[in-house]
Amino acid sequence: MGDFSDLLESHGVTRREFLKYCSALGAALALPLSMTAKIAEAIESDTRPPVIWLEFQDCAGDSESLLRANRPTVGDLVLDHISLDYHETIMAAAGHQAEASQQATVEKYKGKYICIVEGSIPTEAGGVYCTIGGRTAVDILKQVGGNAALIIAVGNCAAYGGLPAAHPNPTGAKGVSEILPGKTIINLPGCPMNVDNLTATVVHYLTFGAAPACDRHLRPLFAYGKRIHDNCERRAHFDAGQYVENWGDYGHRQGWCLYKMGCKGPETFHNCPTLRWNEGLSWPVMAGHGCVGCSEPLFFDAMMPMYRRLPNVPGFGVEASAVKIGTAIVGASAAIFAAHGAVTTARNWKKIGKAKAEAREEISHLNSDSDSEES
Amino acid sequence: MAQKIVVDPITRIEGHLRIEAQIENGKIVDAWSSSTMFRGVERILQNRDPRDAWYYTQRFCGVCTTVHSIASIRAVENALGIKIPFNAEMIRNIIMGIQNVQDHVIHFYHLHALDWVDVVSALNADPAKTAALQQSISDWKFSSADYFAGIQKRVAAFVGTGKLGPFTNGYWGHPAMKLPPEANLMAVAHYLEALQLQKEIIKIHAILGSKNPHPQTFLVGGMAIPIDPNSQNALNADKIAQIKGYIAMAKEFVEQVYIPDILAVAPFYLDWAGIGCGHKNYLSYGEFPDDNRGYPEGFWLPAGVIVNGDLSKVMPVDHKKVTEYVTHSWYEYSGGDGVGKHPWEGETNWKYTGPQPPYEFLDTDNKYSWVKSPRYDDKPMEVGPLSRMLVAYASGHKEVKQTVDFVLSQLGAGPAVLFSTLGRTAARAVETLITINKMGQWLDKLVANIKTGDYSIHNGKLWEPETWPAQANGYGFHEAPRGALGHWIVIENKNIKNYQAVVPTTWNAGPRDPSGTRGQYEEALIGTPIADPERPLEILRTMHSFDPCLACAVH
Amino acid sequence: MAETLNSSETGGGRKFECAARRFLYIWEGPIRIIHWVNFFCIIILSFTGWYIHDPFITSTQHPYIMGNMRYVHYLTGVVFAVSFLARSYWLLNGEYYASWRMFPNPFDKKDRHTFWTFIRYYTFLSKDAPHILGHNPVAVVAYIGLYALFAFQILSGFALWSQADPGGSLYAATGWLFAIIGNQWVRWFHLLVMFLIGGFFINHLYSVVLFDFKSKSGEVSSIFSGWKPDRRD
Ligand code: HEM
Ligand code: HEM
Ligand code: NFV
Ligand code: SF4
Ligand code: SF4
Ligand code: F3S
Ligand SMILES: [Mg+2]
Repeated sequence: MGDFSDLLESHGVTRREFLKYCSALGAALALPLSMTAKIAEAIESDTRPPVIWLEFQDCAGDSESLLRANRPTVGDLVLDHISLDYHETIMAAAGHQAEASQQATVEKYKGKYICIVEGSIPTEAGGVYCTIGGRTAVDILKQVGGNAALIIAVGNCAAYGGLPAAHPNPTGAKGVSEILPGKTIINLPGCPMNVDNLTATVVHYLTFGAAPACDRHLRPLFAYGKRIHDNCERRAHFDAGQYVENWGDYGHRQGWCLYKMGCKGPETFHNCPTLRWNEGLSWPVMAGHGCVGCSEPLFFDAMMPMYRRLPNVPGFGVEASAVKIGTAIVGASAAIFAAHGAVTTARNWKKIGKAKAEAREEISHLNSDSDSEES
Repeated sequence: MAQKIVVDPITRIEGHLRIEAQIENGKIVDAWSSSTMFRGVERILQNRDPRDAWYYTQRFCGVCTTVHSIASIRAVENALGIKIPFNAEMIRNIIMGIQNVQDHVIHFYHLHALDWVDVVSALNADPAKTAALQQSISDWKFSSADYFAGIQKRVAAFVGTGKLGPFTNGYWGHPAMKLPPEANLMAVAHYLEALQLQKEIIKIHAILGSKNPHPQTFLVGGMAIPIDPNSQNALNADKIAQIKGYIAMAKEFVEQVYIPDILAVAPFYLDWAGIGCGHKNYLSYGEFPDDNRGYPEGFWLPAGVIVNGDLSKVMPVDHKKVTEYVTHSWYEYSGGDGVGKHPWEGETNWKYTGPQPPYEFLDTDNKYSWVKSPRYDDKPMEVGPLSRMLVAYASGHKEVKQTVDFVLSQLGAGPAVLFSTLGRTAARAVETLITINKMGQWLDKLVANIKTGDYSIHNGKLWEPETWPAQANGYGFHEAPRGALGHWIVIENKNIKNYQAVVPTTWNAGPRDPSGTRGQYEEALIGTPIADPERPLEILRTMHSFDPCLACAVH
Repeated sequence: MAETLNSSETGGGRKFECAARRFLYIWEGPIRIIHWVNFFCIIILSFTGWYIHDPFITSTQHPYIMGNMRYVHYLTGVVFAVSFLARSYWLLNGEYYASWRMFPNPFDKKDRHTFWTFIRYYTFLSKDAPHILGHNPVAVVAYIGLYALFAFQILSGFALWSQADPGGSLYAATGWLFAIIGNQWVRWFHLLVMFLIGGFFINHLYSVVLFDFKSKSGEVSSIFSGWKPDRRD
């Protein structure tokens, strides 16, 4: 505490000013005046957990998503809730200075900091497809992630490989859990992740001191526990058989179901319909485009093509769908048996007369004693 | 006294950029620009449905999150000969416009500002004087002494925790920092305000395209947001009013904060008008189809090429003159690495030949980057807001000329100062201003067209792949926040046969070509003074003036 | 006739002599019921399943049509699953013709020989249709394959259904499937298997009629009545 006051004073802030700031903060949060001391205490004890945010094979979409945070905003998050010690897109220092502050946190807070990972990790050719400061992503992740208390993989790339892992996965890209099996990892897939799910996860961790309950793909249930399709505002149109058939048609303008336009809501677990994006303003289906399934483990490949509901078998071109393959199988078996029938008939043409005679005989035989047959 | 330094990672940019620089007598005498991350999306795109390409390419980058979608759908539309409805054209303009504005605001305040602003020095400012400074430069609403005192206290409390988070190890107190404490405090306040603003104004993307980053609304042939003034599930008067509100909010900030800040800060850093000039070749593809003819006709900002800084001549753009070299990039070409390939014949055959990690230096004599080297007519080109503004300025574009001349007169300088680090930063601000002022017009045009009863947003005639020819080639251009962007596609049997993107940051960040000619970043760094090789703030300034995006550049 | 059974091979099957010629009661009642229940289930599941795949009726004059289709699909799916379980019971405890005991034994030389005799017959390498009571061994193999497809349809169908409540016990029981192939591919195979069953249907109809005709063993009527003529002469 003494250290803290000294620090403040060395920056020209008196104890009185500090308490005044705390009460102003309390007022802003609509808290009673008696809370001032508590706020001061909170700031003085400063329990903000250090956070290291790593970017590997990413597009920075999840970092951008972070900037859209609203509860708390990214400004409040960084100033009041966490100590964001390393984030390449935001941090002031570069090069050696940046690396130094990362390593300082790893050493000083070993086993206590949170590691957030954005982007996949290339594993082929010794990991040369992503290096930072001359070190490979694999190397950095093993060191920084390996010593963290908790890892949060943000975005589908970090969770499951995402875009870089799409066929033919040129760089052997993988998600964090494949590099660090056994670590406590929370996946927040999405492309990008919805920042409200990240802030909620952090708040959950800070509030309850533990990671939230997750599904088998390590996704928190509070955000990925239900299917898009089961919360979708267009579900009534799905069940009623009201579908968008063409972009801009009557059904599209009336908010009918996008199932026939390839919507992947029926196979996607994510809270888009209830949480929505950009402070609850909208989400893909609401704005007229189907869901693409960006929070699922096999995104991209299994969720494409985008405007067909089911995937195509890779390697056969765009239209190797289940229907095409299935029709071919049915057609082929019909053709084979038709051919078989034709050959059989031809080969046995001679026997047909005999068969007829036999049949006649059989009928007369049966007629002569009808009560032995019943059906 | 020669010394080779490495800055890796270059932070406050998108992606993985590494600069190696040779320093002699406190100045950079040679430089190498490298990106150290590769994903191979051009390869991943092969054999996929061309209508899906926009969704993949959008994920080249989450910062300029719309631009690769636009270039991609335009490339497919070009290949198939699809004209999109006027409504879709205006919606695209609005989406592109606010992308540029928001991206530029983030760039200036959150990526670039800490190169010029000393956060710690703000603690020594007098809030009353800061208020006076603020009031002298504009009518901005947050300008009271109390307000700045509050900001200062908040920063003080933060600094007081001893845990500076992202501000740890910043270049505080660096000799190249010149702003007085009051200006620093004002800038810190604007840093926080801009953080709030950017997430508001980009909500236009959410209204028109469901979310940001990565709006989900693009379609080959149009847009996926339906229009119907009499439906609650379509673009209607309510949503148009919301968009209007955000445009107004952005305009207020740009006019009262961003532009005044540039004008207030620039005089302290006028030496940077003489540093950071590159090859002085500038390329713009032209953008914002502004009338009924639709893309690629009737651009609001003109296309053109300027060579050697000669503003008296603007040459037309021919996409066939674009080639890419891989002489110094970690790829192989089937015809040998000494030739340049037009993107339709382009190849992405990755092959790493650099040092095995962990490494200290790259092998800069050979291949040293994942970025290819694009050339136009075999010349290196700079792209970006500066190129756009110069091409428009030299073409006599009215708004651009007025605004640029106004800024130059405020700084008391001629157009030559634009060929610099400061020029890039100023041009970006100018562009933000004229773009936000233009956006209302596109919204008006959209509304006027809806009023005629035209609700169409998509041309579906060639939607089904069955309607396509067996083979088709196309290209799509777009002026992204960071500059001239081109996607080239070869469609065969309804599939993507080849896909090549030549991206703004590919132009700017590329390594040397076979003749040894440097890329833009490399050239721009030559002559840059370095006060302290351990704290290479000056390198960051020039790099940030380009607004690098390496995920874009390599893809 | 190429192949006949001696009386010991008719196993536990009850033999009923018919006056004119010997008929055997091969298909017990439950087997016949299950056969036709399955038949109708598959027709209904395929029709409603195809609608779910591609809702071709989209008029507002049929309110709740997708809801109804899905309801019928799920309900039929439950009937189908029960029928599947019943058949499994008979497989374990039924009499000879219905049970696993009549599966050809791949380690038995004679069984292998019989199997190849049928393959040769089907591929025109030998001329005469062999006669066999119960299923011929090639058909048995096909039925085993078919029941594997049924099992997959039922498992994948219930798994897809369970996704509406991932906290529930149905998901706990079937959700592991998604960990193996992912939910898009579960649906993909659920759709593909519909076609495979269709392929079997064509094959099956043809074979039944072929054998009825060629070996004169009353195949078609047997699945209604249960009786088959003992054709060894
Ligand atoms: C012969 C057996 C069956 C056939 C041919 C069949 C066929 C189909 C088909 C074609 C689809 C549409 C797939 C798509 O395009 O996404 C489907 C969906 C489905 N089937 Fe089946 N099915 C069968 C058995 C079952 C069973 C036993 C169940 C279990 C109750 C079941 C439950 C489902 C469910 C839950 C769906 C997804 C429906 C939705 O999305 O709302 N199916 N089925
Ligand atoms: C989707 C439709 C059908 C399926 C899946 C199917 C399936 C089966 C199965 C699994 C068996 C073996 C019986 C058992 O051991 O449980 C069987 C036997 C039989 N089915 Fe079908 N069946 C279908 C339609 C039909 C139809 C339409 C007919 C009549 C024309 C038919 C006639 C027979 C006959 C005659 C047998 C006895 C064959 C023998 O002796 O090996 N089936 N069927
Ligand atoms: N370079 C670049 Fe982009 C932009 N602007 C793309 O085209 O940033 Ni990510
Ligand atoms: S998950 Fe999506 S948004 Fe995030 S880095 Fe990957 S491509 Fe970008
Ligand atoms: S729009 Fe998509 S998620 Fe919504 S009901 Fe239709 S299919 Fe389901
Ligand atoms: S595509 Fe992603 S953003 Fe939501 S609606 Fe679908 S999960
Ligand atoms: Mg390229």
